[in-house]
Amino acid sequence: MAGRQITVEELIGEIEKDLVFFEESGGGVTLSGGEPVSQPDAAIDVLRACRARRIHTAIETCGFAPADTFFRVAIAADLVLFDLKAMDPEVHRRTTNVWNARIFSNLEALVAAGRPPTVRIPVVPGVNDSDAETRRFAGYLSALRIPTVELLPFHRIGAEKYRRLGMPYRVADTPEPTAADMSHFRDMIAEAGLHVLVGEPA
Amino acid sequence: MTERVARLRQASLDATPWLSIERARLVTDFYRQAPPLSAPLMRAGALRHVLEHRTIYIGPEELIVGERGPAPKGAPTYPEICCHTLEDFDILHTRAKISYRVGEEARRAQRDEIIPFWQGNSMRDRIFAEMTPAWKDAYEAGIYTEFMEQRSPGHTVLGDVIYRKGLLDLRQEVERSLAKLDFFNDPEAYDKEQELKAMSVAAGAVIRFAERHAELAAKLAAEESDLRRKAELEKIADVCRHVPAHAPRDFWEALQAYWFIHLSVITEQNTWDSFNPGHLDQHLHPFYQRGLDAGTLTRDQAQELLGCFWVKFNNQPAPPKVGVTAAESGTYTDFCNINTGGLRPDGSSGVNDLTYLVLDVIDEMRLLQPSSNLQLSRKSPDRFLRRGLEIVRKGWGQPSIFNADMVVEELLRQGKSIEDARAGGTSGCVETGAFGKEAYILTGYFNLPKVLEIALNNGLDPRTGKRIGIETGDPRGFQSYDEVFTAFRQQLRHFVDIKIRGNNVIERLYARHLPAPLLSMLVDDCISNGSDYNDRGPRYRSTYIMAVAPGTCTDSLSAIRYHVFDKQTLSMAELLDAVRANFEGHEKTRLLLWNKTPKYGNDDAYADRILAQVFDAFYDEVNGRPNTKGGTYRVNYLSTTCHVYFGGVTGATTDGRKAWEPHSDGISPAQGADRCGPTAVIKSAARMDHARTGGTLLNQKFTPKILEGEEGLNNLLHLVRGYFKLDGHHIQFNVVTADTLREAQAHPEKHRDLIVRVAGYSDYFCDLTAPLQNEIIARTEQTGF
Repeated sequence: MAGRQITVEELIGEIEKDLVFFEESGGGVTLSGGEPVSQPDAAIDVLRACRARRIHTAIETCGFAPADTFFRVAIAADLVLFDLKAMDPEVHRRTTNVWNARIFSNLEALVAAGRPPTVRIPVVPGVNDSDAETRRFAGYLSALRIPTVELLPFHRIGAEKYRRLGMPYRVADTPEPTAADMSHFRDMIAEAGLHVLVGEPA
Repeated sequence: MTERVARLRQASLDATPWLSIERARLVTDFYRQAPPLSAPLMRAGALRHVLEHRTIYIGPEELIVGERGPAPKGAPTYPEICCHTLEDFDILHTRAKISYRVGEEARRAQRDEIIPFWQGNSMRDRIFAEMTPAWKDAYEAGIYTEFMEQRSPGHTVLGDVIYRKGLLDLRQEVERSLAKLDFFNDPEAYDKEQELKAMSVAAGAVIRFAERHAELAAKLAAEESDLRRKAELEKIADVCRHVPAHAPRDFWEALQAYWFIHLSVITEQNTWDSFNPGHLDQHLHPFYQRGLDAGTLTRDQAQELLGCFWVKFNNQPAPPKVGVTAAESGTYTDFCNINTGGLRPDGSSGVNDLTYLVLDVIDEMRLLQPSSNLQLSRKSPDRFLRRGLEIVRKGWGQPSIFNADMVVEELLRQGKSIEDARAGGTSGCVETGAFGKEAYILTGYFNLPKVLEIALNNGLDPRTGKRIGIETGDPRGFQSYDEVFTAFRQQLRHFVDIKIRGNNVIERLYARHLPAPLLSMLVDDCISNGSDYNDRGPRYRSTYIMAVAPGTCTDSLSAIRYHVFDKQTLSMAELLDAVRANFEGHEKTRLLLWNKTPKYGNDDAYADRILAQVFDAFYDEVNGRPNTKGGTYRVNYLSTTCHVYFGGVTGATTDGRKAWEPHSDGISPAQGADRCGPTAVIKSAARMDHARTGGTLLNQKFTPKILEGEEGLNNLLHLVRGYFKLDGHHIQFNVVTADTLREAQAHPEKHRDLIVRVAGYSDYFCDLTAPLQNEIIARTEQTGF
């Protein structure tokens, strides 16, 4: 359940152990959550060390960070997986406690720099899956010419972890989207000319 | 699958194994009446007598004919090798797992004819009579097992000879070899003459056996009213008249020729690992192609014939085993392991059109026997591996996957020619051999953690209190890890010496008393050497001892090094007291050892260095010693079901394993010790120098979920290719959920068809003993890459 402290050198040592598999599969390293941008210097060190070893790198980020910090980390990776949770600022504020303006500007900065990320949308029934909201996602992302959009169906697998951590699980009553819900969402995004993938609900 | 094959398959699945006394009676009759003959002629005469007088069976709808017993699932006995007691028969008949129905007539014959003649004279009796007290003590303590006490040496695979030559051609070669004998200058000329004459008799016996099938088929054809079946029976009669006397002319004859040879070899003796066609796709491909080109064969017909051929293997349960042999190899499977793909002798890829057809047959037949594997080379196309993995993913344990390039490297290191190495492959579970040219005899499993236990008890076996090892000092006085390892090393040498001394006697017993002239005729260069398969006949003669539980042994040594000497979290006395008490009252210590020890299987250099040290120690003690046949000792790493038996005789170990629990299997990490996922397991396993072995066995278990879709298949493919890039020898997969297994344990009646990968083979989960079932459930269930 708990993480542990590790130095950049130790982490590189662990990564190098799997070199043979990266070479075989064309795979690589993804820095994921928490939020890699919240440890920018360490993240950049790791990403640079990987790139020096010709290991493909990716970061998974919520995009919420000061612009210069975010940009420094993001361009150090080969691929950015950029989560976009809601277009509606009020919905975003209500569900994540932050406004999404900074997230939009970070995303736009990456696009402007010629490094458009893969955008991932967690599809949460009753939160961000209304037709109006979906149309906003489609319009915004197609205007930015985002190359790939991934839809991640919401799931409640985290309930057990929250229980063990003694934290309230506030989405216990939120339903998981059906396959039909996902298809509907996907089709609306695809109609805007975007390349859409639907992830596994796990 | 055609309806015919579906019905034959179902009939095979529905038939229950039973013990046939027919062979035992015929062999006994022959021995009782035969004039005094040399051993080879005695054996050939017995084979001829059996094949001439045994029941011939041709079942409804069959295209490929012949059974080992009088009917499907009939298992003969071999009293000249192992003469069962009536108690053995009771055990076989009544035991819950791997039972054989024993009828009243069989019991009566055993009591009145077989036992009176063979008791005290069987090979098993001779072996135990010749073994030293030190050998028996170590055997009874469970330091090692003895393969040859109930079954004869086998571990060989047929090359391509029978597809090029008929037995009449081979008999001519025998005649030429006889004509060349030099009685004036060769002191062995008489022995060679006897052996060669015996080969000639054996060839005639097999030809006659085939003719008897032709006669029965012709008779059935005459009586048959259904015109289609009548024509089939006439064709069967025609095939059986031609092969194996002559070289096969077409695909059907090639399969039938192999099958007669197979049945005859496993009738001559109850050789380990039945017998094996090896590179079936390569051998049959010319016949397949010619048939397609000439318009005399279609892909569908070939598939149906292969289906009929597959059923034949499944109809032959392993010869009944009792005692330790039943514990070390508790299965109906007789370890025929068909190779697909691989390399051709010229070094090109062996994958051909027929390879894919054979894989389709494996997929649709879904039978326990024959076992099957992919021989994957760097040169093999990904399509081949992908097709194999599609079958693997279905979760019934087949096929297993071998690194063909590594197999070649292992054989080259042992001194085989490059062509012989490439024509080689793997058989049994994972054993590397030069097909058609090598006797590579496995002699017994070797219990590495038990040897460490003896070292930690200064030569005493704590289970019995008996002194079976040498005095290597009280470990409480050891000042360093090196002293611990030195004590282990000395005990290891002590027991390897005892095992090899026993082997040297047993090898001679088989060479003198139980030659195998038929098998010899089929293995190069027995005919030109005028010598037997069980002696100096084959081109290559290797003897193996199989190390068991390098995982448990490594973790146990790692725990001592880490906790007693490096971190000093425990004193040696505290550690040994906890182990002696089986951790009762020491649960905290056990959890410390279990959870806070660097363990094999995690790509952890600390533990993996110890693995390499254990590997080198065993290798140095065994590899390169001479056997009694002018060949050499080698090591390999597999355990079949023996890790359960060995665990059952080993007290608690310093890695936190409780007494009598199973050891780690093959070269897999100890159950639950690997916590960093499959890539870490592979990195650790690759730390072993596979090139210096004759085979290693790595099990991985996955839930079906993570292998779903194209991505799951790709992940598995990269994992296999990655392991082989690191020179791994073999990997196999169980694809099943632990919940499914528990469900099956609770409700076996609903899960009879559940097949899991056990060791070098698959088995019905419900046929496994409860400890083995639990052990398979406990093997780390990998949940992600």
